[in-house]
Amino acid sequence: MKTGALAGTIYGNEWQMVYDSGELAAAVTSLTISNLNGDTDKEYRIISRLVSGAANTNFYVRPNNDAGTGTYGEQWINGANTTLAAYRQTTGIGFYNHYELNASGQVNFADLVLYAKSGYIRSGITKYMDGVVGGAIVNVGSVAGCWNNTADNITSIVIAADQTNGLGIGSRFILLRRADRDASTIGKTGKINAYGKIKGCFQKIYENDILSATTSVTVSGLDGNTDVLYRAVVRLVDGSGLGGGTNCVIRYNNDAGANYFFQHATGYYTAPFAGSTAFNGDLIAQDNVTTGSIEGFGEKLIFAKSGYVRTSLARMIGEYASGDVNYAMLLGNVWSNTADNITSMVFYSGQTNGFGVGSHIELWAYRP
Amino acid sequence: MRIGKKQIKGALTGDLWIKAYDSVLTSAATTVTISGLDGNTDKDYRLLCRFVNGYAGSTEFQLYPNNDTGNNYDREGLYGINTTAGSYKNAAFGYVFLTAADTSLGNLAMADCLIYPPTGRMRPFVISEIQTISGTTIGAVAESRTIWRDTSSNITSLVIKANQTNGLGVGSSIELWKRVDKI
Repeated sequence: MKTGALAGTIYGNEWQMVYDSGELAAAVTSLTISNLNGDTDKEYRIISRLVSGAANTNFYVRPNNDAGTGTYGEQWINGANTTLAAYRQTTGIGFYNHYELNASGQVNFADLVLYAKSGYIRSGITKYMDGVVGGAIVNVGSVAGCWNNTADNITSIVIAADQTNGLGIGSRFILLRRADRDASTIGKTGKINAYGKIKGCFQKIYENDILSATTSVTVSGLDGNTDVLYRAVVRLVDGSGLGGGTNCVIRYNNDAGANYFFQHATGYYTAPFAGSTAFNGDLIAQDNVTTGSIEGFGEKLIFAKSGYVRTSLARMIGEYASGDVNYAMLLGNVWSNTADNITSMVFYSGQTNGFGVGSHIELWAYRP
Repeated sequence: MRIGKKQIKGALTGDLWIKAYDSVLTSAATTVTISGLDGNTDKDYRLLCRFVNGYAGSTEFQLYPNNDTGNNYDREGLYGINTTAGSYKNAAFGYVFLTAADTSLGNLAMADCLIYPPTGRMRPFVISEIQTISGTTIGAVAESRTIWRDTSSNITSLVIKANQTNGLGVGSSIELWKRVDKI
């Protein structure tokens, strides 16, 4: 059956949002997502844009509101300016979500994938960026987390701050679950071929296989204030012929100013490093080597809604060729513009014909 | 269109991610094969695994597109182990390293692997991983990136292997998600 837009609870083996807080209109200390069933849902994905409501606050994700010391473990890899560091915690009090450095109002962004079904220790991987103030980021990293509870079905998830009203105005939390088909008898349908938006899902809205080298690609007709989140994927095949110096950045509304800032944590040979810099776009793929025909690849989650600085998190392969993968990167980016609705994205390569034949661009939008 | 609660018993298509394979092992195995794929049509894969170590020692969990066991892979990774941050590089590697669990039977590991499978170029694998979960101690967190040098073979299967016999223990969960465009 061909349909237009769909709105409802759909069990079709997709990921679908079951909770979206919207932007908080008042600060709170904790927020409870109830009516979950981790044994049925099996996995959750929690995307959070947190605006700190209090200084020196830690933020946690707690299944069934278990705040017991010693029931959680964590292992971190974190980049802060040029310092790359690792940490382990074996007496945690929640899946670590964010850390507020020293002042309220900082913006943080995180993406947690949680394996929720009981029977085994529950595990989750979080990519995060913390401490965004104006146009700068303090931390970017990945944290592995576990909840040493094998028995209890997850029926709720509490997002908690350890300071009063730590979840500040403007914070937003979105939970997606795996929505399997099952044996229940509710509203069975046959095939559904959706031509419109499917509420609560990410959908691909743009795709371009580059067949003729080009310098930039513009995706227009966007509405970041409605879509809230985007997911971008880029494979960059350097077509410049210059042997390096080609980067794919995303320029929101074609803003080419130095209004972007990134912090990265990078594996490079056996000498990992971290760094940060102001930039002229939101970096998603790169080829900085000086010789050879190199490719780059990246996936990026973007919080696009205006009102606060726009944040994004990327997993990237920086520069690869047969026989060599140069960089394994995590990257957080901030676009300092807080006001303008994102209506277009320009994927810009930095060099004439930098997007060579074989380059590929995808853009996905969340359907709130 | 408001549709209330619906069980989509047929295929759901609409430019979104759909689960294409899902298995929770009820008996230990050394290999799990996901077949019937068409990477050129599907275009995006995401492999999400939670492994239970089925071997009383160190076990690697490996991925072989089209069961290619040649030294056709290159990788770079970033890791955190306790207070040590490090990285590694492997050229002409023999597989896509997903994750690992050390030491004991029943220890857990997790991998979230994005794959861009169309032919024409080397295929990238972007992996976020957790190694060796035991109680509240996590052995390592890592971000690894692998390329498969093959540019021409359509990916029709993904083979997940343990490097120890029956290393894929009972309870191991393997899911594959793919992009499903509207028709």
